[in-house]
Amino acid sequence: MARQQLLPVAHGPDEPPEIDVAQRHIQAHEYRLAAACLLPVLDRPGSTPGAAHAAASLIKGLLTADAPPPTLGDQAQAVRAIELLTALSSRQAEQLERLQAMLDELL
Amino acid sequence: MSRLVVAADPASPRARHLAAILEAPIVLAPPDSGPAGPAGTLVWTAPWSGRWAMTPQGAEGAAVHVLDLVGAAEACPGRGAHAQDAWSRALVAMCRGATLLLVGSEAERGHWSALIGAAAPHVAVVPHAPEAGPEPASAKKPAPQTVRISGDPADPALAAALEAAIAWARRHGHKLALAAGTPVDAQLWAATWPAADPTQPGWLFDLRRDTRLARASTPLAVASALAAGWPVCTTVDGALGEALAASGAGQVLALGGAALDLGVSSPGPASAARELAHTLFDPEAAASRLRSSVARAEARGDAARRAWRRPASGPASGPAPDPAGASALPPSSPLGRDGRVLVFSDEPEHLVAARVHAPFGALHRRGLIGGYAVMRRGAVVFDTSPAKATRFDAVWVHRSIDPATRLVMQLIARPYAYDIDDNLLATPAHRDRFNPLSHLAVLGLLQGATVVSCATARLGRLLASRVDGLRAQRIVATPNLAQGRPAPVPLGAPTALIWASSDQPAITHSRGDIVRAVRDTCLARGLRLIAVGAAPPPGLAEAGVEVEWVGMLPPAQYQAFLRDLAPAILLCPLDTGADAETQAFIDGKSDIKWIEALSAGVVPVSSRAPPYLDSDLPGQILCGNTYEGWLEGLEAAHAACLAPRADPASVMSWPDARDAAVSGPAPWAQALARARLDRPLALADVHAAHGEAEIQRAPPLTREAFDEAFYLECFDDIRSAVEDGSVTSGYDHYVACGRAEGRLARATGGDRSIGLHEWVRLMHEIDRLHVGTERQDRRTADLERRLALRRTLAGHRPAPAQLPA
Repeated sequence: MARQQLLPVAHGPDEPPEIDVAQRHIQAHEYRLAAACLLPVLDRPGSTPGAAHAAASLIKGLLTADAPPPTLGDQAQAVRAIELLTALSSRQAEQLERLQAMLDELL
Repeated sequence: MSRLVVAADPASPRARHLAAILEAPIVLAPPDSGPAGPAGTLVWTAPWSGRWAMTPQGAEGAAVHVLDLVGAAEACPGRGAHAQDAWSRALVAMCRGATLLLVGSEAERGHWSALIGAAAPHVAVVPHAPEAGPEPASAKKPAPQTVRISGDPADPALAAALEAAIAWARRHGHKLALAAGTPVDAQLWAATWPAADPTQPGWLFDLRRDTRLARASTPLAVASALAAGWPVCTTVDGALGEALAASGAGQVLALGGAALDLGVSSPGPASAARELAHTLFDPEAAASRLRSSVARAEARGDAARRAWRRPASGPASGPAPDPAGASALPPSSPLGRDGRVLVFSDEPEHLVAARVHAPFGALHRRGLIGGYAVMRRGAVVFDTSPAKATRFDAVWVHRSIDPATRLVMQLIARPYAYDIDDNLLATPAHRDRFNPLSHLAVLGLLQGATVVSCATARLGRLLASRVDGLRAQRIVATPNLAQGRPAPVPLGAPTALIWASSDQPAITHSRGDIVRAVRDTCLARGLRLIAVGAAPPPGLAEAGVEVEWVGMLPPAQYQAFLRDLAPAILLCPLDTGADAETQAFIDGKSDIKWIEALSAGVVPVSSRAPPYLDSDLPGQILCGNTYEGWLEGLEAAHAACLAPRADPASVMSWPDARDAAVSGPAPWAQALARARLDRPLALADVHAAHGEAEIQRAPPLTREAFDEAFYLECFDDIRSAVEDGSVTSGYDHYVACGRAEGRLARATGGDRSIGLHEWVRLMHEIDRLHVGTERQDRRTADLERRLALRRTLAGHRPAPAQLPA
């Protein structure tokens, strides 16, 4: 898949503004900047699930699309994305645990 | 004094800045327009500039070699501890060849002096103090501006700062640009961002890790930005940060993204940055220090050259030159009377003594060369000149050399003579195989040498039969030389049999017979066996022989040891009739053991093998490689020790062709003459090449971090080579040649390479996490829905009595 084909990104009401910024970067062929802009979305506690998924999908697409051989910069972004996704997963697990406890209490 | 600045990168602002201070023209290295002349040449090398400046012709030994470390702190070409180590080794190597070191601050001086230690030349604090740029025409309306990013923006630890800087720039409608001098991943960012125009107003984001060295140093990009009146935001909270904050010319940014984003405030006017630049870097003081430091370096060089040219009371070692003894040598000296030889040798001391110090010491003592120096692994470990020599007229490579030295030979690309005293291309059975990489290296050295110096003519023929293009015309037989006179054997019963070998003794199928003869002689005569170097043959001690094993001895100590033991018998076994490869190795050996024995008054007993049959040293005992042959030979040696000497004064002398004091050095001089360089080689260039070699050889992975299993899984040929023992490990192959061949590698731990496999692994991990978080999101949404439903139900739950039946 070509990186340009990542456009257009579907817009939703809960999508963060960074998606728009990333789109502009993609239009300008600044793929690494696009990925860099999206990384903070994964780390934002207030991000809605839709925003996080939109960001993660786009980052994954940007990093895996047919591009020149990966550079250290790509690698750094990938590593950062993994760190942030891991943290997001932990937060989700805590949230799930909390919700399950509340549900158990009500039952 | 008129000067000329020679630089590999004459367009560099730093080089132009220094040349302007010295009021000297600046030229590309090496200069296009002929010799630069010996006087007033300043060779400027900056480690971050990518390549070093070669000393121009005519200035070898006379130039001032400046190593400019301003900007070197952030110029490491890799990331991680191993890359930093390689960078440090490279800088130390380059420092060894420099006469003047430039640093940016007193704090940096302390850092580099501690790192470089004894190799440090004179150090001067000459920060980069570029001239202030023109006042921006539209200072009141700066937007849109350029935000330049410098430092190491791709460092994962600085990702938050980078992201925030990008976001900030985008939000304010500024353009992003790459600051000059960003070494790590410059190619990555350069593909994305244009280079900044220094004449346009803008900001500089100095993104670096907050380390001790970072706090001590001021990058060139920051100095240039301040001088141009640009506000600077830095992630390093050191003296620079404090000065930025106090002057209003910039600020220190917290590494947290949000803090950075919020923290960027409106800076003071451009004049604040310029004033700060003037205060920090003080152009007048820097210029003054540079001028005086260069003048002092030139004066030191002149003094050293005068001392070197002075008719010395004698060289650093050995007696004064003896021109009288030169009568048996070629009429002219091979390199001229002042000619000097640079010997590359990474071999053990005893080999250097026999094949370097003995011949070159003789040539030097007899005034046929001006001197010689020995370089081992990047450092000059021996020099006949009291004042360190800085230029050489011939390059001599001794036997096997390290991969780093091989790379240096390629980098300096000068003709050389290659000396070899063993058939290192053969694969003998009595010892472990030579490393295939060393084998290839020896082959390359033989093919590339201007002249090949061999210990024996037979060795020359053996090598020529195995090397394409190595013709007899390129080979000179240079026998091992004997010093002084042979020592008489003291009268009396021998004190011991001596089993001396620095390697495994070259015997295979003959070993049993020889060892049995030695055992029975020791038992019959009550002699002990003393092993020097290699371990004694097994089984002797169990048979009741008194065995001593003294291990390896330095050459001088070994000779003294033999003299103390005299009269004694030195065993010199060599196989005969072995398989073709083993015999090809054995036949290429020399008779050096005879010289060692005869110099110490010890009787050698030897196999009837070609190296001894070919020898021109007289009066030795040769025996066939059978039990009876060796028993007979040892008896003859025992008798020789007890036989009365008719006249001690009539002790035999060395053949003239082997005597260092007569015509022994002649073939060595002949080989040297053929290796004479068309123009001298500057020692500084060799040191700089060593620095370059360190950088080029720096593996992107340490041995500990290297994923050996992955590498062997990827490459069948290497796995086979490791399995059959021809390559020690995958990592050794990767460092020696795999990396250069572009083979993939990856790290086992946190240190990640950029191999394709590693990249795929990262992508899989992202995918796994993405899918996982998506699943958890669905579960969260489901739970929230159920919870909301339950709450709704609980809030509107009817009383039990109202429930339908």
